[in-house]
Amino acid sequence: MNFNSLQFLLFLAIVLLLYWLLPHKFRWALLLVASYYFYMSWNPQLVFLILGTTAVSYGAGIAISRTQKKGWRRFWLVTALVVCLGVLVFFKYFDFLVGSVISFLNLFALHLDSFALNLILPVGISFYTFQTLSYVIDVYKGKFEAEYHFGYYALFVSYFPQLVAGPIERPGDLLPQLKEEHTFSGEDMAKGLRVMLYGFFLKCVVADYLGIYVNHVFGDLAAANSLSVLLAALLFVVQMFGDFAGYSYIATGVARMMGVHLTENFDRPYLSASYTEFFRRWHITLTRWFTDYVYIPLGGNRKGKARRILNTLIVFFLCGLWHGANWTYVLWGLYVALFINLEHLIKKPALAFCERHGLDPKNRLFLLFRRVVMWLTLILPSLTFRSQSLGQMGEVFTVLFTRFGSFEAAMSSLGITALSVPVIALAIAGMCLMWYFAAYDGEKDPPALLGAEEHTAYAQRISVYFYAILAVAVFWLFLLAGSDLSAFLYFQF
Amino acid sequence: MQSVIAGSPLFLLLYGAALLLLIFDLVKRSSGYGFPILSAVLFTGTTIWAMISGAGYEEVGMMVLIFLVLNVFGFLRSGGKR
Repeated sequence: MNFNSLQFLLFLAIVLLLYWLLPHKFRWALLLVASYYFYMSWNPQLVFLILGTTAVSYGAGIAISRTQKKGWRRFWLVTALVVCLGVLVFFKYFDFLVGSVISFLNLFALHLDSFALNLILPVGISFYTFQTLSYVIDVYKGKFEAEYHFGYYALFVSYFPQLVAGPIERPGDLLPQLKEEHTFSGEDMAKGLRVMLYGFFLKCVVADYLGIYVNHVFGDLAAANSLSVLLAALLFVVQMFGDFAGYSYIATGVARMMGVHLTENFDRPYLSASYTEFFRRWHITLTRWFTDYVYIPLGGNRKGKARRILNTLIVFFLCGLWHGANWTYVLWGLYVALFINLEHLIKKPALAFCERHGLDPKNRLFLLFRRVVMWLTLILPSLTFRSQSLGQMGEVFTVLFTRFGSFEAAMSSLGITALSVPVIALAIAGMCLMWYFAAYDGEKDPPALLGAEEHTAYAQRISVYFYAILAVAVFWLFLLAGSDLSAFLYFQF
Repeated sequence: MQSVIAGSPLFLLLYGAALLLLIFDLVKRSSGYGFPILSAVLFTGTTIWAMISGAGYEEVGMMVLIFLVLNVFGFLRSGGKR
């Protein structure tokens, strides 16, 4: 059941109606049933996996909390880590690992046959596994009390708005909210609807529409040239944001309509002027997870420069691998780690240079220049990320650096018509402006573009809703007609 | 492929009228409902007629986005308060 489907909208309407009609003590049960129903709509058999992961982590949490003996506490922690991560590794990486080992051994002329189990990747496994791991680790460290109510804990793991593609919630943030009694609030409903609408706009109008042109290039690289690959890379950068942030906003909006505040997962990442800043704004919950549970335990930046570089490489190697069982994701991670390490190395000399020559590093023009450079450096990793295999990646890079064709050929390769250009420009403009509309809280002013003026008409706000819903409907129908509707990209992770 | 909307003076006139009403409302910064509703009704009617006449979703989508962007811009320009 994709978020961008009528089936989901109907499901959501029923769940919300029942949620607000039921007394608080029964709401957890409704949400749990709804969440499992939502999950089973993808593949009913795989529900035993999430149930098993839930049971193991729940049991480990209680076992840890019931003993003060360090050895036993560690035993239960390790058991939970091994089982939960083991399931993730088996389903997600088994074929990849075996295939890579066989390919490596075949380099030595061993002629081994390929072997694969062709396992179905359970939807959301990367997300809910990380969520259960953070629970067990936080209980072990004493940062969070173990949850004894299995129903609430199971709901924490399977809460449907954020189950399949995040945000990755911490037990301290989400569990108390699920247990808290929420009263119906018009402000929460309005805010939730605004945020959800923005999410659908990002998905249907921005991501799916731009995806058509990206797919056109990647679907026929023989017809592509360096300009079309370059433009496809830039469009893919926007598509990725539209797709992933779109899902996160829909999830956040849905939860908000139940009075639950999910963690912000995107904060205008393309305003970043560096990779370090970018990962503080992009998939924030994943960055925080790796920082708290991998980078800091490895020593972070407290053990010298060389160790910091190594720790960053390890974190982004794992982060790349988390995205998928493919060497292209690993290369993406290593590329990003390289840039982050470079930034750390040149930061002090660069600031010293600015100070010596009286330059202001926060100067607006300089910031704009850094943002443009940042965008250009996103081209290579985005092409790596988009490629289905190392072979395709190699082909894409070959076209990018060697096949200099005409502008007309590039447009033909992208499938762009005269009409596409203004639509793409308007979709991107809408994406940027609608962020402010979604961010508007009802109590305080959003950052007004031309300064806060006197009151605007209520009708004007309704107009925005009207045209935004119309835009989503038109593009959703357009893509449905052309069968260009896609599942959310991050569902594959 | 020939554009149904751009190729018809009547559609251009109707969309233009809807646009003028919208721009007038944004410039005047009125707190009334008249102009936005009139603009939306004219826009919707014209759009339905254009789609029946064979306008593609991309054409229609572009018109919707133009009106959306203007409305969001207007909403923000006034600080977004009620």
